[in-house]
Amino acid sequence: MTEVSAAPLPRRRRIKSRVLRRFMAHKPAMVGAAIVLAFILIAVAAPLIAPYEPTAADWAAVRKPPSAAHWFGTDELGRDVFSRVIYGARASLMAGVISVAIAFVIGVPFGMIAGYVGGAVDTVAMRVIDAFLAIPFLILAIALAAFLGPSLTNAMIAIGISTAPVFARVARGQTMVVKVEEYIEASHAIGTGNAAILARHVFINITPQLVVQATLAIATAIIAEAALAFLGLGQQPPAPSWGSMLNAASSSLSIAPWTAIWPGLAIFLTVLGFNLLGDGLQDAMDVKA
Amino acid sequence: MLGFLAMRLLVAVPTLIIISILVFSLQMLLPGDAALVIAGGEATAETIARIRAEHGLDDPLPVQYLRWITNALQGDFGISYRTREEIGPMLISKIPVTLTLATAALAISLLIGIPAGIMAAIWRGRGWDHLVTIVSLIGISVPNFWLGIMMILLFAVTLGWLPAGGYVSPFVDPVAGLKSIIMPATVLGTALAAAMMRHTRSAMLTVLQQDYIRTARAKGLVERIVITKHALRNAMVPIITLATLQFGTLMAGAVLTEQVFSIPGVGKMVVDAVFNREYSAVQAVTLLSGFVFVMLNLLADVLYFWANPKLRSRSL
Repeated sequence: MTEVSAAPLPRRRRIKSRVLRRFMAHKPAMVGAAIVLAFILIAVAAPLIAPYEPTAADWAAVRKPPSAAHWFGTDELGRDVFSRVIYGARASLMAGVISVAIAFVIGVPFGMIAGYVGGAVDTVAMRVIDAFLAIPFLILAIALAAFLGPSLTNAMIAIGISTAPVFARVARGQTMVVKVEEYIEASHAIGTGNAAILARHVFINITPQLVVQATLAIATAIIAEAALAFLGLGQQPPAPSWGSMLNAASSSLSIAPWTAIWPGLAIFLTVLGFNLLGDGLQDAMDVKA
Repeated sequence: MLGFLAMRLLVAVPTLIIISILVFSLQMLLPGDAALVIAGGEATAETIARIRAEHGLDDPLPVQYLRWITNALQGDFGISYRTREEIGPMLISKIPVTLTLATAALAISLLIGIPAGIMAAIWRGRGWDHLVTIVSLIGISVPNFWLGIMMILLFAVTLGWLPAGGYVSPFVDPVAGLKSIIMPATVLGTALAAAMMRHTRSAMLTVLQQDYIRTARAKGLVERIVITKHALRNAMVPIITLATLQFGTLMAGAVLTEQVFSIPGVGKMVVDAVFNREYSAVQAVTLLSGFVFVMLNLLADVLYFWANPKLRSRSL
């Protein structure tokens, strides 16, 4: 067992450094990484960056256009739009990462077991995945969020469950490729159990595809959370979220257009960052997500 | 061909059954009892018990499922507790609106996506290719409901060229209809156009590397003929498949677009149902969209079969 897992290490290290070199040389990916990093910093340091409390209403400053005091203007309750956009990054990034983590935890073991066991188990698992994938992602997320009730936690669960089949499909496909490799046969030959093979060998070898998929899925999850919040099914007011800010802004476009511009731009930039990062990882790892 | 279709239908049946079980199971996520939701927060225990008996909520789940799916297959999804209208006919009446919007969006995405993708493949690595890559990346990253709001801000609020919302059927009043649908269709078609650009570029690049393209060029054929007659015809097969499959995604995207532009289609119906806690209507739309997607999948398979001479000759 020791020989089997220890032998490929130097090769693995070489591959890792080659992937890292390719990734660092990928300019769009670097731009994406910079955008994502910037938004993570904004979310973490929100109390230091935001000049006002995001929920503090000021009735003397209702729907004021951008000025030196309020860079992005104020909303229908006189709240500072800039501060709300800054704090909104927390809900969006958290929703993106947690819902993808939920999808990963549900989808990957499901897909790996289906692909590894094969036969009737795989056939049944595939029909279940097909059924989930047949319902358009957003409609499934809306339906789940509607039945669970409106909240950020439920929105994340709904998005996670709706995204899980994608991970299951990728994990299943990659497991089917990996399970016929010689090192898996060697592990079987020395008596390693199926669970250990799945955890130690299969999972490690399908990780690159899953990482690429996860990065791109975060982008989709951020848009989905914003969409659910826009429909009133995500983060509830007065807590700031980019989607709910757009919802409130859409009813006062003619009198306060600035309230609609900035939250949308923030969603767009964050999603663009994750998409650039995902594409770059895909190219560097030379895998198809 | 008939054998192929029968085989595909057979594979689709278990998927359809699982979709229906999945959609039926949604009601189990409700906090508390479905009868409580129907009766309202202040209902007495007797009222709740009566509603539970009336709706068969005391029956075992398999019995409840069979009753629900039998009714659903006959278009009976119950009645709206708010308007007292039947949900089935209400849903059917909304389909033409969403179908018109999705068709217009598909047309826009094809008109933009396919030529842009072809040119990007022909001029690979040059300015146009880079531009297409950037535009398609922006297209898939921009949230369509925000794009809709921005378009309303520009074309309706600032310039006053187009209505900010509402729907007029293009079959009733073509000019007003076109005006009412152009913004939502563009918004809905943007993400698909971006995906179409990427897909067409990739499909064309694969075809352009094939031996028969080299042979066609070696024979001295004009490049325009090589591209249009040989490359594009073969690259169209995966493009048609994507377009068919994406039609289902367009129907889903319509939820937000219809909400932004106040279009009374299936998407708006599901949002209204969510707001009014009309869970049967949410289930109806979810079930319909799943079934439509499976049918579109079948259609894509048939188109792929029909457009691929190799598959056709194998079945003969």
